[in-house]
Parts: sequence; C-alpha cells; structure tokens
Amino acid sequence: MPPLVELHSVTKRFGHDSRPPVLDGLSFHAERGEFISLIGASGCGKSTVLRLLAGLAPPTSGRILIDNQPATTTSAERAFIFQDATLLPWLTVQKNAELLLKLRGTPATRRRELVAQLLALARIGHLADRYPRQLSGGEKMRVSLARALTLEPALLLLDEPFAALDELTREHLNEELLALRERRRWTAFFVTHSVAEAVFLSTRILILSAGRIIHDLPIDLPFPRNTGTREQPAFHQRVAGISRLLRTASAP
Amino acid sequence: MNRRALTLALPVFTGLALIALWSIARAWIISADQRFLLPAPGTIARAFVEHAPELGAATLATALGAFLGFALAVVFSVVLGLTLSLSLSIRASLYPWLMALQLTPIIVLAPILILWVGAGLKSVVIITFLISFFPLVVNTTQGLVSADRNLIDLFRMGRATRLQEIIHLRIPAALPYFFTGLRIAATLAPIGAITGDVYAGTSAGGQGGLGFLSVIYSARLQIPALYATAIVSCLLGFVFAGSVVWLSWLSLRRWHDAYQPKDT
Repeated sequence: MPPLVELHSVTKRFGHDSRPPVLDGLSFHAERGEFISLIGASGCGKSTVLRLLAGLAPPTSGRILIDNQPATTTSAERAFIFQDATLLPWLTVQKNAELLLKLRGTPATRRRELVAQLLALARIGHLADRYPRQLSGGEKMRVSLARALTLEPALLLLDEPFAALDELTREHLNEELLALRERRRWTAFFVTHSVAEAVFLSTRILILSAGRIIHDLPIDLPFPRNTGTREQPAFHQRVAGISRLLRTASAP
Repeated sequence: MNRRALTLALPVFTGLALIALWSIARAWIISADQRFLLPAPGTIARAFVEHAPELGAATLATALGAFLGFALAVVFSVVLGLTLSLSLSIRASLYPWLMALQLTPIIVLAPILILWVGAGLKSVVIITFLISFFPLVVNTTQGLVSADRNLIDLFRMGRATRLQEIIHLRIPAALPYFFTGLRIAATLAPIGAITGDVYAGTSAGGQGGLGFLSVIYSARLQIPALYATAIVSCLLGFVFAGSVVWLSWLSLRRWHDAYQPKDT
C-alpha cells in the first residue's frame, strides 16, 4: 500500500522570488495511521505545510500526493482544525457540529444522529443547545474536533489547536484526542510549539527550520498513552532531547 | 435603586433639569421682547393640544414617506451590498459613484427630483431613500466581505458552494454590520422625509407632512406650534431608531457579544 501522504521537493514562496521560500524543497512520506507533529521556530513553515496538505494553497513547485492523488483542492477526506475553534457564533453547538455534513447535503436526521454520537464521544453532549459564547475554550475546541470528525476524514490537520488553552485543559484534550484516535485511526499532522505535547501525541516528530526538515524523529513510547506516560523517565528524556535539538536549530 | 430603574430614571431627571434651565433662561437671560422665540414649556404643551389634528395627520404623512423610503433603501442596499461583495472590480467600479451621489447635497438634488417625478409622496420617498441608503450599503458590503479568514477556510474545507458560503457564512456574519447601518439609516429616514416635505410640498395626497407644516408655522410665526412640530419630529425619529434597535436586539441577542450582560 502506498503512503497516505507524499511530498516531493515541495517549495512554497509568498511574494517576490527574491525573498527566501517559506518551504524549501520539502520531501517526506507519511504512512496511514501515523500521528506526526511539526515543530520548529515561528515562521519555519509548519502551518504552511498544513495549508498545502489541506489543499487551501498550492505549492509553488513540487508535488503533493494524498492517497496517490495530487492534492490540488480541498477534500472531504481531509479535515482542518484551526488555532481558534472557528465556531459560527450564531449557531448552537449542535448546529455548528452539523455544519460540514449540512454543506455536504447529508439529510437532517442522519446529521443529528451522527453529531449526537460525536458530541457524546467528545464529552459535550450536554452542551448541544448552547451557543459558542457560553462555552469555555476547551469546550469550544471539543466542538471543533467533533465537527472535524463528522466526515470521517482519513487525514486530520491540526494547527496549534490547544495553544490558547491552560496547561491542564490542554493535557486533558491531548488524552481525549488520543482516545478518539483509538476508535478511528485517522492519520494526523499536528502543529505545536510544545515539545511535551508533541512527544505525548506523536508517533513521529518533524523538526523544521527555514522551510526544511532538519530532524525526522520516531517516538516509540507505547500506546495507549495517558497521564502516567508523562511521568515516565522515557517521556522526559525524549522531551529533553528534542528540546535540545530545537535549541540548536534555533541558535543564530 | 437597581441598575435598570436608574437607567430609566436618569434621562427623566436630565429632562426635568433641562426644562428648569429653559425656564431660568426665559426668566433671567432672555430679554422680554425676545421671549417669544423661546416659548414656555406650558405654551408648547398647549400648542400640542391646539394643533393635535394637523400634527397627527402630518406625522402620519411623514412617517409613511420615511417608512417607504427607508424600506426601499433596505431592499436596494441588501441587493447592492451582495453585488458589491462579489468582487473587488465591482466595488472599484461602483463605489466612487455611490460616494459621489452621497456627497451631492440633497437640497441640490431635491428640485431636480421634483421636476422629474413631481411634488408629493414620490419625491419624499426618493429623497428619504437617497439620504438613508448610503450607510446601509457601506455597512452591509463591509460585513459581507469581512467574514473571518479561518471561517472562510473552514467552508472551503467543507467544499461549500459560493451560494452556501453566502447564505451560511457571509450573510449571518454581516448582520451586526447591517444593523449598524440600519440604525444610522433609521435616524436619517425621518430627517430625509421631513427635508423632502420641505421641498416637495404637500405629500401623501394633499396632506402636508411635518416639514411642510414647519414651513407654514414658520411663515405664520406660530412659534409654539413650530416647537411642537420639532418635538413630534424628534419622537418620530425615536420610533424609527427604537424599532431598529429592538429588531437588532431580537436578531442578535442570542449570540452577539454586544447583547450579553456586562460585568461592570
């Protein structure tokens, strides 16, 4: 079976040719079921990789294949979770979570059924009639996650989804994200600035610097991972090791 | 006194203080031969009663002109706003001309309009429309093009059609902007209708509106009645603006931050 995601010498420039590219000849493969975190200093091209994979922007040169098909446009097979929860403030939690299904023309009864299941899985079933303004940051993110999963995507793209949350909520959501992944084995690309978060969630970490991958690191901590995982020496060793690599990469 | 009662009581106190100041000005500041320019509040109240039938009829005539012009402005602005939001080229082509129309003083346009469509309700409606449509178009268009970038990307990820994006994202996102424009237009509409009355003479089938009445009272030096007309005009403005504020509250209260209880 071919890899789910293939990037071949992908370059992305914004503006003039004289400016350095945001992505500079990036190449990598991602197998089905992998959870890959992209880390690196701000402006290194992490979010751009996600936008290119989503089909929200085209590469300047190079090829992106997803499931052996060129990723030239967006697709229902890919879901994007943004840094803010991107909920429509005029819709209830239920209606927000139904949005992608509605756009796709799924009948109302089926939508309600699917969303009820997902909201229950995300532990926010009791909030279905609330409006986004009545939710906490963590609850909003759970709605965003449930909405992204309604179309049962093969590839989930998460752009610093928990960056604005407090540490405890963030840890809870990390665990719930992994629990959800146990049920539906989507492949994930996760952008974060937190090395600990990346180590906890990932099967593999890519460290980017100036639009290139400078380290491609497998994370072999066993699944299922939970609060106990964060207390293991192996976890701390990896966090310390990757932080060191990151500091070296960012050094002037 | 609770917060709500205080909010209601404060304007009443301010109003009473203004009436007291008014009376003091009449008694102590204005010379006796000039006092007819500032009638006593009681005299104005009597003028209300005395001229009630014609004031009532004029108010209805002006309200009709204002409402029709305002409604026309709303329909036109929504259609034009949607058109303008479609592309930068359309905006670039039409905006300067809309601006030119807005910047041309209505007192210059009014005589031309009267020549075109004749005096009466039609002219009043068109003048009201011209005065009130611009803030509506600008705000509606701004709202339609200002949808959050990430939300637009979300719709792209959902492979929404352009029509779905307009109906499910751009129109609801534009509602707060639209209501801001609507509030400005609602305060301008009665002003437009009264201005129209002044220029277009009798309106609504021979019965003069408030603008027409003020011209008559002014010519006859019926000063208390002139004040009564001004107060009725102001009340008409309140009805228009209040209706829009209520409509805005009704539409946005569930989700918009502006309608949520404040901590302080």
